[in-house]
Amino acid sequence: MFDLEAMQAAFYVVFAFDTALFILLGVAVGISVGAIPGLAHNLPIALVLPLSFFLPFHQTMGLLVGTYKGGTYGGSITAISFSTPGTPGAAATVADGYALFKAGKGVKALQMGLYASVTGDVFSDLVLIFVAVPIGLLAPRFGPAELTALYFLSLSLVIVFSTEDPGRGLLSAGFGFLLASVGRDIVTGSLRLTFGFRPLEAGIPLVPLLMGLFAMPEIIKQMHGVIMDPEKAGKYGEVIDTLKEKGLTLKEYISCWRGLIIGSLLGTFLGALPGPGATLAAYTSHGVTSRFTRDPDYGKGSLEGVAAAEAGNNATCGATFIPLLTFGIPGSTIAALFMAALIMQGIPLGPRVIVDHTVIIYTLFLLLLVANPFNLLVGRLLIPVYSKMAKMKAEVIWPLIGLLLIIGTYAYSTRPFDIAICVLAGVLGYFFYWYGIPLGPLILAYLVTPLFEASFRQSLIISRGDWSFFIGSNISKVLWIITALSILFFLKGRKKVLK
Amino acid sequence: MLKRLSINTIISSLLFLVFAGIFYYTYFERLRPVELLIPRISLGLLLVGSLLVIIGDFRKPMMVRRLNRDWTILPIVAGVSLIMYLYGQAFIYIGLATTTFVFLMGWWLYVAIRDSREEPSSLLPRITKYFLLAVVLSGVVYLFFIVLLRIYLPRPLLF
Repeated sequence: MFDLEAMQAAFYVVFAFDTALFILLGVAVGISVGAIPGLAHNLPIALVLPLSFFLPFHQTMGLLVGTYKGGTYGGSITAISFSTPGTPGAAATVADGYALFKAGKGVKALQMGLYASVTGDVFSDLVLIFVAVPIGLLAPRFGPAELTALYFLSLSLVIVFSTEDPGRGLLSAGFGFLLASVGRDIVTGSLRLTFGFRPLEAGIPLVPLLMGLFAMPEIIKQMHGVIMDPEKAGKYGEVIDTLKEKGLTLKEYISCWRGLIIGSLLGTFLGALPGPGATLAAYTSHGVTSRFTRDPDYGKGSLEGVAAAEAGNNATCGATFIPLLTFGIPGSTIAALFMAALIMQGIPLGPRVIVDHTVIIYTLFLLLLVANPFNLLVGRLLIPVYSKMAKMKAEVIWPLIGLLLIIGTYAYSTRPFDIAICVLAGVLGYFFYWYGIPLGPLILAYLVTPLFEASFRQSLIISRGDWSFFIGSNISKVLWIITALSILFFLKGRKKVLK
Repeated sequence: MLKRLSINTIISSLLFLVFAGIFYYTYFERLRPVELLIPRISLGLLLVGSLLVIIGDFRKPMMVRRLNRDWTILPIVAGVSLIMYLYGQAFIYIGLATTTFVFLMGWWLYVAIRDSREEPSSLLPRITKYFLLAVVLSGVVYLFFIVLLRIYLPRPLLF
C-alpha cells in the first residue's frame, strides 16, 4: 500500500544538493567507464561499494544508481562512434548505430541512443515503482519448464535474424551454440570441448568474446586503410565535416515509437527475470522490432534499430530491482552488488523489505527516477566530445582504441587468457564480416544456450524424463503457442520477401 | 568442375567437412548423450547452414555473394592480432605505462617517417608531437587503470 509519509521523507532526502552531486558524479563516472571497451559498469560499482560504510544511504545509493545508469548508456557511445561496444549490452546497437555514423548521421544516432536509453529507463523505473509487487509475485511461477519455454522463444529469434540468408544465419547460430557449450557441463560438471586445455574449463567468457567480435574487425579494417592507402584513410569520420550534421528532431524520435515501446516492454520483462540480462534484452528488442518496423534500412543504419536496442538495454536498469526488492533474489551481477550495498547499510532484503524499510525503498525508487535527467544532461554534454574525438586522425585513434580494448578486456576479470580469447574472437569476427555472416544469431545463441540447457535439463530431472512436463502449466502452454505462432509468422514474412 | 566453384562454395564445403569431422568425433567422446546434446545441435546447425550456402550457390549462381579478393588484408589481420596479443602480455609482465608508451610510440614513429618522405623537414616536429602525445596517453592510462581502478598485474618489471 502507498505510504505518503514515507514518500515525503524520501522526497526530502533525494531532492537535496548533496544527493544531486553524488548522482552527477556517479553518472559522469558511469558514462566514462561504460564507454571504455571491456570495462562494464560492474567494476566502478564494485569500487564504490566500500563507501557504503562511510557515506549516508542516500549519497551511497545516489552514486551507485548514477554509475549504473550512466554505465548502461555509456556503452552505446563507442558502439555508435567506433563500432566498439563499451558494454556487452550495447553490442546490439553497433549494426544500426555505426552504419548511421558512417553515413554522417553520428550525432543523430548518439542522441537517439541517449533518448531511447532514458525512455526505456524511465519506463522500467515506473514499472518497478508501481507494479513491483504484482510482477514479483509472478516471478516464482516461472519454474524450469516455463523458463525452458521462454528461452526457446528467445532462441526462435535466430530465425528472425536469419531471414535474409538462412544458411549464413544458421552458421552464425551454430557457432553461438558451440562456443556456449565449451567448458563444464552445467549439471554433471563433465568437461566438454576443452581438448584438455585448462583455461577453457571455465568456458568462453562473454566480454572478451564480444569485444573481439565487434571491435577487432573494425580496427583491422581501419588499420588496413591507414597502412595500404594513407591518403584515402585521412581523418576518421571526415564525412561528418562535409555534411554539417543536424541533431535528432522530435519527429524522428516519435517516428521510432515501435522500437521504443517494444524495447521498453521487453527490456523491463527480461530485466525482471533472473538470468537474461541487458545484452539479451537489447538483442531480443532489436530482433522483435525488425518484424514491425517500416524502415527499409533497419539493421543497416536505422534510428529505430538504435532506439529498440538502447531502450531494451536500459529498460533492464529498473527491472533488475524487481526480484531483488520483492524476494531478495539478485537476478544479475549488478543486483547482487546493490544487494551487498543494502546489506552493508543494515537492510535485510526479502519479501518484507518494502513494509519494514519503506522510506529506504522509496528513496531508492526516487533515486532511480531522478538519475534519469542527470543521465540525459551528462549524456548530452558528452555527445559533442565523442563526436569530436571521432574526427581525430585514423592513425591516432584506432591504435589507441586497440590498446584500450586489450587493457579493458584484461581489467574486466584480470585473466591473461581473456586477451587471447579477444584476439581469436577478433579473427573470427573478421572472417564473419568477410564472408557475410551476421553476428546477431551467434550472440543470441551464445547468451541463451546456457540458460536454456540448465532449465531444460532441470525439467527432465524433475519430471524423470517425462516430456509432457514442458507443457504442464498454463504459462508454458502460452509461451509454446507464442513460439509456434512467431515462427510461422516469420516464415510467412520470409516467403513474401522472397516473392 | 573445380574452376566453376566460387570461393563462397569452396569455403562452405570446407566448413561442412570440418564440422562433419567434429560431429563424427563426438561419438568417441566419453560423455553421456545428454551432455553432448547442445554440442551436437550446434554442429548440426553448422552442417545445415554450410549445406544451405552450397545449395544456394548452385541453385542461384547469379546471386552468389561476391567476396572481397583483396588479399593484402591477410597480413594486416595477422599483424594486428599478434601486436594486440603481444601488447596484452607485455603490459602484464613489463608494466602498463612503459608498454603503452613503447607500442604507441613505435607505431607513430613509423607513421611519422612514412608521412615525412615528401617533406623531410617535418620529421622532427612530427616525432616531438607524437612523443608528447604518447607520454600523456601512457600517463593517463596508468593513472586510470592502476591508480584509480587498481587492476591486478602480477609483479610487472617496470611501471
